[in-house]
Amino acid sequence: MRDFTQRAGSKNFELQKCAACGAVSWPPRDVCASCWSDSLVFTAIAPEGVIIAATALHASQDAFFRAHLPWRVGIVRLDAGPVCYAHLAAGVSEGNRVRLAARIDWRGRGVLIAAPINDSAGADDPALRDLINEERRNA
Amino acid sequence: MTDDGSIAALFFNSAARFADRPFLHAPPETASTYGLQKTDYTYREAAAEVEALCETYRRIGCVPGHRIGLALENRPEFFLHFLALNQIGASVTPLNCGMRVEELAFQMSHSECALVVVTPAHRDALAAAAARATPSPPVVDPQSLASARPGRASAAVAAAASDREAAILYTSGTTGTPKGCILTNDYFRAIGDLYTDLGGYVRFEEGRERIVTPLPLTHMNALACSFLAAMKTGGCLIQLDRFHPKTWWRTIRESRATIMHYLGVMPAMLLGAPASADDDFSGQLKFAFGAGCDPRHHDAFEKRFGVRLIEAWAMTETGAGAWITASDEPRHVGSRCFGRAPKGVEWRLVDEEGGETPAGEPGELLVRRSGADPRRHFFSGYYKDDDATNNAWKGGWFHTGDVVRVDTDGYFYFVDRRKNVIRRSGENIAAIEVESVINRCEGVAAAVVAPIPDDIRGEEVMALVVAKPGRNSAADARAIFDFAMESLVYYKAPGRIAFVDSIPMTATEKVKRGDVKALAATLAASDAAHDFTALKRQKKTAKRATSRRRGYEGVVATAPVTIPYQRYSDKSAHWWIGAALRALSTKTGLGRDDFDGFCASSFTLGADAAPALTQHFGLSPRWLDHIPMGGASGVVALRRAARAVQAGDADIIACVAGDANDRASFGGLIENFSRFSREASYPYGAAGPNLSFALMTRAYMNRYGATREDFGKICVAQRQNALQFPHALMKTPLTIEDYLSARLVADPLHLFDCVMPCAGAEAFVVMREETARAMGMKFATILSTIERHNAFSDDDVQLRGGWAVDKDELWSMAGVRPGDADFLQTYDDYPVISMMQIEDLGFCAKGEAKDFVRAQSLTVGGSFPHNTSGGQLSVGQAGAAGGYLGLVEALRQLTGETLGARVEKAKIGVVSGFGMINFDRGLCSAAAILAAGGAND
Repeated sequence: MRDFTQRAGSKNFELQKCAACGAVSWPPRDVCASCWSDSLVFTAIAPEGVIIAATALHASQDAFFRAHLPWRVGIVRLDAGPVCYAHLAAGVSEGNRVRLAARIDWRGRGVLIAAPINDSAGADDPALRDLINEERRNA
Repeated sequence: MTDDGSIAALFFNSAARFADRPFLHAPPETASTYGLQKTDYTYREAAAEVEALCETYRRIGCVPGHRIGLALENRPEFFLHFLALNQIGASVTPLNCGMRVEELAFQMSHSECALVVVTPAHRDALAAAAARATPSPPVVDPQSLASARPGRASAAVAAAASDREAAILYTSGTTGTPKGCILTNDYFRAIGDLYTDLGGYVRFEEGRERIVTPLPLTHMNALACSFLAAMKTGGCLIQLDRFHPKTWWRTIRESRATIMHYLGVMPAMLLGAPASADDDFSGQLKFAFGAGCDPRHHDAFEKRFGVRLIEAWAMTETGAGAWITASDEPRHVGSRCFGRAPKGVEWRLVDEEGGETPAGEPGELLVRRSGADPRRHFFSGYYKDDDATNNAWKGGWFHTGDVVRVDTDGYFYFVDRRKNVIRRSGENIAAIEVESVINRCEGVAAAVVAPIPDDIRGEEVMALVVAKPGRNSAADARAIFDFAMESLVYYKAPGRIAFVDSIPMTATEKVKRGDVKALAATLAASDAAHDFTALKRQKKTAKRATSRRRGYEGVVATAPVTIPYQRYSDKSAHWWIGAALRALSTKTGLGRDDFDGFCASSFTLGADAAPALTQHFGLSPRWLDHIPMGGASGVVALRRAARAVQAGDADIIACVAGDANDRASFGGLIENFSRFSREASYPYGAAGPNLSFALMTRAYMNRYGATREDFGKICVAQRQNALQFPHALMKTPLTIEDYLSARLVADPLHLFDCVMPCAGAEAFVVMREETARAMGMKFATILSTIERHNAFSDDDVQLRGGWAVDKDELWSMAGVRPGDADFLQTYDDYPVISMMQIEDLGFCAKGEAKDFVRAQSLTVGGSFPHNTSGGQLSVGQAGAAGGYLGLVEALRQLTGETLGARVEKAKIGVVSGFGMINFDRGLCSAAAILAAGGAND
């Protein structure tokens, strides 16, 4: 978990890639599910994919999300292989191609953000800006 | 000891005379097949064992007139039990463990077995047969004999021990229904006397002989002939588990056998082995005793191995009464000659009309005893079948059904059988029994069965089948073979099947057996016959394992228990599980120490798992499992426990799931649900699986066109069911309008789409059917189960579950179809997953659950009763107990012990489980098909 979080926020979009078979893994793990090699290396991969399904949360256990409802999340199938959940930036919806970015959220967790293909990590979306706000994190 | 004419008296007298001489020996091969601890008994040791067994049998109430089923294979202990029961004056029914459940059930019923003693490895099969038998006898292994309670004694008890029934032995008969030959002590003793006094080459020396036999104890040769001869002469009986051709001579050599018993198949197989320098046994073996040696092999065998094959003729029915042996010269080796009729045996040969055959011509052999009692030393009759007995003795002669020829010197030669019987490797197979099975097979218009010659086995079964139009392919032939293998003990299945246009019939529509036999022989040699002989031999050893999983015969689920749920509770998971155990104890009357198996599921035990619970609850189980499979836990627990009980690893297993739910703990549970969820789904903001199910539901609606009204119909019907279920937490009537207008939780999920977490527990018990019956418990039997994990892992989003992989097996193993189900319990934390289960279990095609739901009414009284207690959506989700809810409710429906609404006459129920949203999808799927048990009326 720390490995992914440590890389989140870097310029490249890095996920684990298997040095033995080339498969890209998500969520992070210790052994490749395709070939059982343990040579999984965080590597820059193509940060693009398609939104398979999207939802808007209208309830949450979490105070941050409760303060920002409705909150949009989707399933993204990455071109590189895996499926992931991602926070959705304004303006993306089911069937859209999106650009993925890994960022650190207000609780210090690495998270994935799906934004329009020409956008940089939802910079135009105030809620997402709040999610990854460094001041909030350090507060 | 005075000799009252019983078998036991003969034994105890020999035991006194030959005390330290060996009595029983099991060679290494047999010892290892059976896992025998003790392979050798002297007469003294055996006598002590027999006396101890006598004592046990007497103590459990065994009396003269009892008939006890012995399913002890060819183990040494068979003899000890037989002798002990004989000493008491009780009779035995030797049961062949290889027989199918139906065949065993028939023999148990027909002979009114009061008790069946079985080796542990076959206990479940015999228990399954016993469950179908009427009366249904208790089934015990020898170790638990002391706790057995035999049923009623039903055999007539003769005043004189020699006239008392000692055994009932089943023969195939010719009508397809096996017949029970009543055999008295005199029958056995006369065989022992006759055999040991034959003379010629057949000479026994007291205290010196070692008789080896591979024949089954369910046949008269091993049960009466070798056994009695050994006892009478103080010899050692070397009973093998079966014929092992490869090690036969090594066994003969190492066991220092002096006499061997054979059946027709053996010389052919032994001659098949390459010749060796130490093939000559003339210095060791005095003679070989048997029947049916192929004439081509007789002389070759005697020359190569230096052992005379003494051919004899006898039947179970004729016993010593009309026994004919070629024990002296001239033996006419290689001519199927079985000697001359001894003094005291009268005989006639008759043609098909019953007229005397001309001298030298073959005819059916009729025999009787000379003197006042023509039936002396014969069997006493077919049990409960006077017609068959009288028919066999028509005109005062016993009709053997064997066609023989007699030469001018009075020597008998076997020719053929008139009776419609196939003789394969020493087993008599009634053609009509095989025919009745094949005639039940789909695609068969008519079938007839005939023997064809087989070099090794003497004869093989061949079926001539008139197929229904278009049903005469090779695949159809295979289906007939498979069906026969499933329905009959393997050796009765047709080794060859040929399709014919018609069956040769007489003008009066009787099968022309002679023409059929000739036609079969012709077709067998041609390409027209489908050859299954290799498959038959292979399946003999593999049984069903290669083609199909073993069923759950003899195991049941019982005692459904629900601890009423609470929305929030400050009680721990341990408390809830303890409450469930207490309820199980109350319901079953079983105490803590009666449960020797325990299976737990829970999410909220903190650091504890099942081992910690044993100490917590003072359990000391010999089988323990912890099933962390969430919504699949119930069905998986049932699967695991059923196999453990079936295998004898445990007798009575408590399966329990329970979870706490205090106001603070739920957040912690979902935050740390799994490693993947912690990193890849929890940070995205939803409570528990709401996010995953919102996305799955959205994708499902997009793909298949299901609407909120469709999901709403499921939820509303479940609430209606819940209104009658006392433990449901949600008891407010729900309308479709209420459902549609409820607040949004995660688009498209609204409030009534989402399960409500709560605290609670569910439990049931798995045990043997006989145990449940003995306790008077209502139960459900398990027709089939499946489980699958991480299926379809490449799908973008979960639109289907592992049931879709395994559903065909689920239904075929159960032998029922979706339309046969009286209700379905799905795992229902969100209605979309119930829709997927309806599709993936095969109730409708993929994507059509919406149409199915629209067409059906889903309430208890409706066309498709679904989640009959209200399901989790209306009762609440008590953590892992949610994975038990549907199964426990199914058990209540099938046992009639419902707490709420009852599905009328529910016989077949389907239960499905789904669990562990590890990250984006549920990993575990499982399902079971259950049937109402026989004792629930």
